[in-house]
Amino acid sequence: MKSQQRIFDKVFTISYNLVPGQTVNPSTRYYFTGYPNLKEIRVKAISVFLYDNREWYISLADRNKNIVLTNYPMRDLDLDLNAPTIQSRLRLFDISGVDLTASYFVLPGSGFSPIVPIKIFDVSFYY
Amino acid sequence: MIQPIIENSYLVEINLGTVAVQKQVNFNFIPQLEGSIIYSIQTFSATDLALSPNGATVASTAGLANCTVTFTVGDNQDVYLYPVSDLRSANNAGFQRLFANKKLNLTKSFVTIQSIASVVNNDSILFLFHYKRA
Repeated sequence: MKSQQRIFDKVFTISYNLVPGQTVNPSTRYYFTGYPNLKEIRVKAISVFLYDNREWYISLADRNKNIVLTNYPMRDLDLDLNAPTIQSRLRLFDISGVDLTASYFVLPGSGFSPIVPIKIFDVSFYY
Repeated sequence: MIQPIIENSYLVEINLGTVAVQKQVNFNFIPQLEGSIIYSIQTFSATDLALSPNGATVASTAGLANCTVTFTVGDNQDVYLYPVSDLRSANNAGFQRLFANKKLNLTKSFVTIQSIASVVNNDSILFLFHYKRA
């Protein structure tokens, strides 16, 4: 399937934050929680805003809990103008619903534990 | 330029092991991709992603330039000795390379190391396959 442009009606963004005491361990699956309404939308595009240079990989499940994106590099979805990978090209998808409770992300390499509350990333779903 | 609409994606890691000129490293069997119709393929260098999801070091941009990939459909090498660098979006103004729908025979597909100048032992090359289920 190919397309040059798509028309979006709405965008919904989720954020992932950490508070002191929480730890991210390397190569460990962290599942999202909440946002059941995302199961009802048809995702046409996904973008990410990474708040630092960490290299997260996301695995996304559809409304039937089937993993449709496996270890997708979040940097490839990052629209940051300085990101070298995709030069701000919005990645296009066709996913029937997103079940965040069956979706997860991993961080290879070193884990970390924040000493102050921090934002890790935002994920925007266009539908 | 046209971009794909992605229904499914699967990131495959291929570890080069001990590098040698003309060494061929075959893809492993990936059940999720068996019989799937692949229409776009991307690679990434260490500039984009330093580590694979398993924590292996990713080949450098110069390292990718020293490797080619052969994709086999059935027993036919449909994509023969293709420069891996050309699948890297950052080398293509951020776009993803498109292929006519292919059911790849991954275990008969392989990466060939053409030069070891910038390829390091145990480097990994990442291939992101965009596909739909047949």
